[in-house]
Amino acid sequence: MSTIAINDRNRYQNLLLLLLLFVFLNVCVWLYSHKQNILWPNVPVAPSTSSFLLSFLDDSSFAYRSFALVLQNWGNVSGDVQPLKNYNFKNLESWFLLLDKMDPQSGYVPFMAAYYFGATQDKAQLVHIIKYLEEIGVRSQKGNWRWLVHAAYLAKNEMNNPKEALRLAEKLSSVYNPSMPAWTLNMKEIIRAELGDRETAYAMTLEILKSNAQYMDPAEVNYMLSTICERILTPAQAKQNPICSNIK
Amino acid sequence: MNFVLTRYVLKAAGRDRLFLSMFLAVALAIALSVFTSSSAVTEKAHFSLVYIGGSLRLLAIAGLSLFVIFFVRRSFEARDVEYLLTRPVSRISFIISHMIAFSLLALAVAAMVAFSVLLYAYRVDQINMGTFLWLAGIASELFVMVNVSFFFAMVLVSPVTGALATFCFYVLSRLMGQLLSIVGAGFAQFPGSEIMASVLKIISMFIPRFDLMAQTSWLLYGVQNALENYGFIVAQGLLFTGMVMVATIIDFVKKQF
Repeated sequence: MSTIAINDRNRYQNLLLLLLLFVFLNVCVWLYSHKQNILWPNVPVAPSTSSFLLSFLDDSSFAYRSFALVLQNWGNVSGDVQPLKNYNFKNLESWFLLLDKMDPQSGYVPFMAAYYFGATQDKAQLVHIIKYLEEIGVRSQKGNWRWLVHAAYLAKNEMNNPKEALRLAEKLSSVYNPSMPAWTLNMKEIIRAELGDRETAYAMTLEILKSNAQYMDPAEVNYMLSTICERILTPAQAKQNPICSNIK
Repeated sequence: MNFVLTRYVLKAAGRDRLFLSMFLAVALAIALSVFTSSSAVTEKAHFSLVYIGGSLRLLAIAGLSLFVIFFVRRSFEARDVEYLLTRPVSRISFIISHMIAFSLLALAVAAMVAFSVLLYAYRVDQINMGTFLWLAGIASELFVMVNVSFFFAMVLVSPVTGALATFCFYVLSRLMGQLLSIVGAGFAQFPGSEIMASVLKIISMFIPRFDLMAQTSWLLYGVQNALENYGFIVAQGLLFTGMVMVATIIDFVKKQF
């Protein structure tokens, strides 16, 4: 065998050894890294409007739609779904307000705030939801008053704070919005009537649907119908109620 | 201008499979947009439309800019430019013919984007005056960007630096509104910030305001002052391209081979 062939074989064997060494070193790194799970960082404080817009090339609608979906799936990290009570609601409120600046006409984030985040197990956190819903509920935009009604509902039925609910009802009666039905002026009486939780929820949800469905997304209407039929009414009541006849 | 040169560039676009690859990328972007927005609880159509609009805009800009830059640099490296200049073609005619060809390509890609957006907007019942204004804005944006890409490809020797300069220009054009707001609000409080603010204001005179030209919110909620916006889109597109054209001609006329 020539010297060149021997040298080539030695070089090849050295390279193989080097490859094995790197494989072994990579396995050593894996021994450390495979135990490192992704930790849920909770909700951080929202950035400023300018810096948020800068990261989306100043496209506010694209920024809104991108982060609205992030908000929806925030607690879902590598298959580990966090309960809502673990969320930092103070920071979440800052995100609601930031996204509101990106698209004040959309009903997506208010819907998420009212119906998804509003279902938190820690009722004290609802203060932040109510604050946000109050801010957008007073606007004259068509159908926005319903968020103020929902804030009053959360205050009375979820937080057990009738004083706050009355304050919001008073605010609702002072809001001018052409799409508002007459009953919103008597919201204080509805709250004072001391109906049970289910009766109040049924009355409010039904009235919102009756007077406001034309301004709502069909998915939101369906969600409210299923809330009435599956959560507010008992199965026996739902069976007799005609609005529940199409709910499967 | 020289129609043979214009046709030559258009044929090169076909040979480089620009339209086929753009068509496939557009189809993929639409599919991904619809798929992603399907996880939204409500307003699914709004989500899809915004994602389609936003992604097609970036795709069209990237596709056209890269084609223009690599085509021009390849022409220089293969000595096609030198060969073409030995023919009875003036340097000014060479630039104008190329710009017309690239503008036609921009128009074709804008038509592809328009067809996709209109089809989807019609399907979800979201066509309004804002949709057409947005499409006009996109066409104007692409028109400016292909010509800016051509300018950088002619001026800068490397296709990589040409592409980077083009994308930096695009980002700056999209963010100029925000940067001017920051300057106007006086947020920047550090030594030399006043000088920087003045420099930025001077730069902004030579940078188009893409943030005002095709706002995605128009696709959803329409627009109030459509006529004013159409005027701005047309004026900015034509005037800025005119400036770029003259700058490219000056650079090319002075170039030594």
